[in-house]
Amino acid sequence: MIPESLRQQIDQWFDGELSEADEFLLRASLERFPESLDYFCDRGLLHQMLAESSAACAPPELSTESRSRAMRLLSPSRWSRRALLTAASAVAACVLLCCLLFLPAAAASPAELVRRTLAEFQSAADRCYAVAVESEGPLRRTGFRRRVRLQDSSLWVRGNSFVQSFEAEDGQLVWGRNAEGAVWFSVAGESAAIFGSDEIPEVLMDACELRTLQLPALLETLLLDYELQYSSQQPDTSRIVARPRSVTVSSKYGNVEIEIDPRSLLVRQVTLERLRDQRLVAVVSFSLTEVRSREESLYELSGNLQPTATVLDRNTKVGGRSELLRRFLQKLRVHQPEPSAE
Amino acid sequence: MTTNRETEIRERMTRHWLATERAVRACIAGSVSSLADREDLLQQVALTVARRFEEFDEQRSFLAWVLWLTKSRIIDFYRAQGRRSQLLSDELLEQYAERLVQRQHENSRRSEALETCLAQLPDRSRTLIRLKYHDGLRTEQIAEALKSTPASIRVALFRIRETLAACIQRKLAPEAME
Repeated sequence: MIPESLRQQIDQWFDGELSEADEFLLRASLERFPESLDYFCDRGLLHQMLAESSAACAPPELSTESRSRAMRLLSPSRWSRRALLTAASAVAACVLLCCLLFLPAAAASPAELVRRTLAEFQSAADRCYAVAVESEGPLRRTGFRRRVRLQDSSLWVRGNSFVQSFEAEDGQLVWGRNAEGAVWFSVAGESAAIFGSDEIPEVLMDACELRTLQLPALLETLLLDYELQYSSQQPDTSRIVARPRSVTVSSKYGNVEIEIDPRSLLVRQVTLERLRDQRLVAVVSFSLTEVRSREESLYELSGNLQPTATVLDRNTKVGGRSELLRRFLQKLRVHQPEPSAE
Repeated sequence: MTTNRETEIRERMTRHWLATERAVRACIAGSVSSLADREDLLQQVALTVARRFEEFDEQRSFLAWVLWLTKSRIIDFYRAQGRRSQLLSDELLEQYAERLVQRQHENSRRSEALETCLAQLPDRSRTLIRLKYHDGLRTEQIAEALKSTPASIRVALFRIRETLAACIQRKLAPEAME
């Protein structure tokens, strides 16, 4: 496994933005990890392909403001001013870097802590979260000001793969996404269906987004689009409250609260508001319960089936798989306690 | 007035160059840090290829030949720089070039896979890619344009490329080709 710090340095090198000090480190690392040369080669080709692909594309559909801002930045006078500024701030940047490296994590800003957590996120590590979903959906229909608590479940995640199971009266409901991006589900281990990554229905995609935790994507979103503030800071726990800088129609999350262990950089708890069309549809909380290595088959449909199970896939007669999906989603919704009036 | 033979040679050279330019660019980008120096070196390599194309033996790999020329140019470049040392030692540069040659046969499949993978990215990620590669902005310029921080943009771009690389790998896997 090539360390993430080395992979990031390789990226910065191809961007032409690696400092001389880091260049020295990269040179040493490439000598020390011969296997990193394959990664270096693939990444070099990827950068070239992206440049070719972008050159072949039509101009970007950016807002006028962003575009004019970008064009101003590209003007020669701006370049030289930036070059001077960069040179003048090099010493300050070194001092700042040293401070960031040697200060304890708890002293970092919330954004820095989230950035480090993201950098440390190992997609190969398996983590288990207890999930609770409080839906806002029925409130508007009934007029009551209350939330409906869906049945709790356990969720194992590794990178973008997940498997989530619910205990129900008529058997266990399990669903997941494997490393290839295919989404599958199984009802009581007997009836099952699988959708390849290129054919996942929107309703299933929505359910994935609502009920599962994709930490890298979430942390990136927080760093890019959120104002971050500590709500509490202890040696072993930092709580960060994240508020969106602006909410648009495409925003998936509203306010987010995240609890990170600043020493291990493990995300222990996440509570997030899920939005659709700028409207709150649910509050989802994920609490870390376990971190340990799990077998690959955990995320595969085959690892969650009875030997006699029938699996519906893209080759199944039209309609059969959709019908099973409808039943599965219905069961997901049915297994929730009746709301009680406040 | 150009003869048929000259026209034919020029066409062959252009065809070879177009098929290998990506690897040549990757070889230079893997060896030299400054974007301006990379462009200068690419032009030097292209001129050398044009001058020496008749020496090329069609029975052999054009990419191996052009990368051999490229490596010489890179070593000359560092020699002219004096004290600055190469990122890749001569030995690593040799291995790097070999790997580029090994990957050449899947060139077009990689491009096709990338286009599919790019289409699957969220809008925000595609915007970052456009600002980086279409507009050629540096990380801090993108951060300023998007009212973010350079560190955030750097990490976001890294994650996007990781996603794209994994997606391409999946699509190039033997079972995906069935």
